[in-house]
Amino acid sequence: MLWSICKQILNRKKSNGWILLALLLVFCLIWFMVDFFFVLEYNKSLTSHRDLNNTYYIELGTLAKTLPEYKEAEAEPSAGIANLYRIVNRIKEYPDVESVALCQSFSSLPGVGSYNGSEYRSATDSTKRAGIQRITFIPEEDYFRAFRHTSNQGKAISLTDFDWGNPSAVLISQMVAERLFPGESAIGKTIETSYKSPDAPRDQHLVVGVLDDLKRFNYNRPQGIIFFPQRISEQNYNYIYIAIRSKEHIPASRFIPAFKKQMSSNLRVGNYYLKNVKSLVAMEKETNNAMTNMVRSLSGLMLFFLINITLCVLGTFWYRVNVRKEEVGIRRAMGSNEAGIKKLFVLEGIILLTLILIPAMIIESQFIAAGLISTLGQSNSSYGDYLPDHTIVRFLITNAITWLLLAAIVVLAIWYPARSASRIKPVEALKDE
Amino acid sequence: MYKTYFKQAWQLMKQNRFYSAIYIAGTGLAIALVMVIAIVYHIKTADIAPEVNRSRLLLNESGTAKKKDGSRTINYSLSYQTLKECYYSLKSPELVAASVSVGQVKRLLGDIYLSIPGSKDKYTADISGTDADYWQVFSFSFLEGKPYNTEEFESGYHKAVLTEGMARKLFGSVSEISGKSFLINDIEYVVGAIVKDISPAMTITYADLWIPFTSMPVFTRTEEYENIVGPIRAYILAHKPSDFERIRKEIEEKRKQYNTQLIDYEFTLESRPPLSQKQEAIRQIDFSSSSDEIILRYSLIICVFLLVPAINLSGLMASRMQERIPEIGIRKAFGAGWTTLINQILTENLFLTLLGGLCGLVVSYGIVLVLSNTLLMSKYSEITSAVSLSPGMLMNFMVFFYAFMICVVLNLLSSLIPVWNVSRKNIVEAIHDK
Repeated sequence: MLWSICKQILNRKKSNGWILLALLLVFCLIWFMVDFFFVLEYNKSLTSHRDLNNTYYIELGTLAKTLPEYKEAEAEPSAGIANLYRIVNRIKEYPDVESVALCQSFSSLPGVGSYNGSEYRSATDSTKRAGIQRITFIPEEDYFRAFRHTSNQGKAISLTDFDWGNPSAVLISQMVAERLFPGESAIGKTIETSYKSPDAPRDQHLVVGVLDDLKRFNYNRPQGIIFFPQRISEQNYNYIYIAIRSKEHIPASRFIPAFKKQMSSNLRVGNYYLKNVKSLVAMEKETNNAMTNMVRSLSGLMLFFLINITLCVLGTFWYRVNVRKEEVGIRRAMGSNEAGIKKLFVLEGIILLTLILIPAMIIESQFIAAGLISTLGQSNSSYGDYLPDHTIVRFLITNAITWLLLAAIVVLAIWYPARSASRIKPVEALKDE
Repeated sequence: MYKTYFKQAWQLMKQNRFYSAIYIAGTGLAIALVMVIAIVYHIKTADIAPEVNRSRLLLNESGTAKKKDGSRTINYSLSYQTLKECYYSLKSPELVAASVSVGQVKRLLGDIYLSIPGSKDKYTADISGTDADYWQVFSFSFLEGKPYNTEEFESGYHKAVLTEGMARKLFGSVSEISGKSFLINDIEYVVGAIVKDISPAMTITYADLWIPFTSMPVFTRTEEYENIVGPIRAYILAHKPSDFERIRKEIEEKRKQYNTQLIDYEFTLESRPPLSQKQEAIRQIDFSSSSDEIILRYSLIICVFLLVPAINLSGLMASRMQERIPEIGIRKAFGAGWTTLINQILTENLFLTLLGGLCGLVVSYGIVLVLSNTLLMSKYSEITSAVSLSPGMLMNFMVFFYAFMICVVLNLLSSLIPVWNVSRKNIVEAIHDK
């Protein structure tokens, strides 16, 4: 049967030429998108080793100097720091707050996508180096409990699990440990900045613990992080960011308005006021928006090409069935049943699709050779073995997905014409002649 | 003759409902997608009120202060001083307007609250700071009152122009409110005029409220870097588009002259020279690529969008032509030349393509309306209100013309090869087929 179908396809090379060309073009385009989505979904499936559910960013504002409520005395650093502590304590007293996290600079807040980092190296072997994102946390509150950080692939940790006796103590993430100290434990080792300013000694830090890696965007691979403790001081009190974790059962839609209502007057301390409360989950979503839009437009395009190819296959086969009425009639007269006729047409479609697989792969490999396929979410601080980096395996998987997707479309499109063909009565069909 | 073709096409369409539906859907789909791009381009670049002079407008939205030894560069927009020295004094353009964009005002003022003296209600607003000629360069429709004039602008008079929507929010009505006063962050302003609401799709002029930028020192006071850069953007209205080169040259002369008065720093336009609205719209797509690259990329995308459906439709056409070979054979036997045959089939086909085009256009309107925020808002815009579109932006001659041209191109692309193949067939062979 297969052989006779192949012969028939060859006999109709002109009308099959068009359908093959269309399939080839669409196959390559769909493959491009399938590849993108494959890597995207793969990256999304990697865990982020922290939990932002039920966490909120408490945004404080400072009164404008022109306002009558503004007090010059409260702008003094010592007053500012005292007010900040007062605010943190009042937030902690709020009954639905489970814990508070304090950090320095916006990029230390989780989920905001902001990056602040530098290159670090092992103090004993300066060839081992890595670009790492810095998170600066205020050790007066438990940053790690609040965001549910983990170590050893999922073990919950807290600030008190580490010995902060040494003033230069830092935590690093798994990937940093593996790159700077391969094959040995990083705890107790010293790291330093690769960059050295001419008039100061190199910053050196003692590693006291290793945490799991974090993802900066949810479509990225995890990356290396270094966690610095930093106390509130006159230098940094203007750059302190406050986040909280609410108790488990309260949804954001209820927590935010209730918190704002009860705390607005409470947090009006010195020149500070409560400006806004934002869910960190919502902020993370916003951070990923650029990619969400990209995913939407690519899905739209994919749909466009798929509908196109459906129409093409549907239309062509519908005609083909009409032209081949006689043949179908003879087949029916010779004893083929309805299912057999349907199968004949569907198989023809599948063979057409399979015929273009090799040329399509050749075209696609040209795409790869030209460097048009970039792997999503590879950042320079990524490290490790990920499936999308194995080009050949990825190429085969994405082509298989594309083939299956298009095969489903082809079968769907042929089904209607094939059904009408299978219903042809042999007598009528042969009478046509 | 064409009338007969169309009549015949109509009959054929009715006979082959299934084929026609598929063909129309295929064309409609292709045209919808390309039309979305065309409509967005149209809204961003055509002369649409209040930006009625886009085709004659040069946009100078950035300026750079550079230390003469090259050790420091500050990219920003223009300061009031630079504006006066290099732009207000230009001879070749018709008018020069200047404004501080909604985003810059937000950055400089922080949170903005409007209120009426004595009332506790506060409203946020998108404010833009402008000069007096702004009201000449752009064509707002005034419901009442007059905007600030040049004297009022130069003296920094606290006068504002409000949109209808803002006035309704603030005063509860839109009539007889010019002369009334209100507060912007506790500073008193007088209402000068009310204008119709502006769509955020109008990237240069969109705001809820306009004030002279001289009325707030934060817009004009720029002490650093020898006062070269500031938040002000210049909009230069040429007499005609071909004057752009002359204006650019004159700006260049003014710039050099201005630099002789400066000490450590110099004023340059190297980060972004004055652009036309079309160039700016293209630049906004992608800052990191040159405009040629962007045009090439989009042309390629449009080609693929048209090519895939064209191949599909060719396939359909080829199947259909097989069926019509006997008819064509007979026509040939009666003396029809191949030009006549091609002409007839192309016309018939155009009929279907146009129907598809119509469906596609309607679908593209739907897509533009649903996705207006994503499609029309600049990626880096700080405007948060939703984009509103007027019927005039969507339904106009240019958009219809684009749609028709795409139909013709698609028709030629999709039917030429199958028709050519058939029209060359031998008469005897053609009739014999049956």
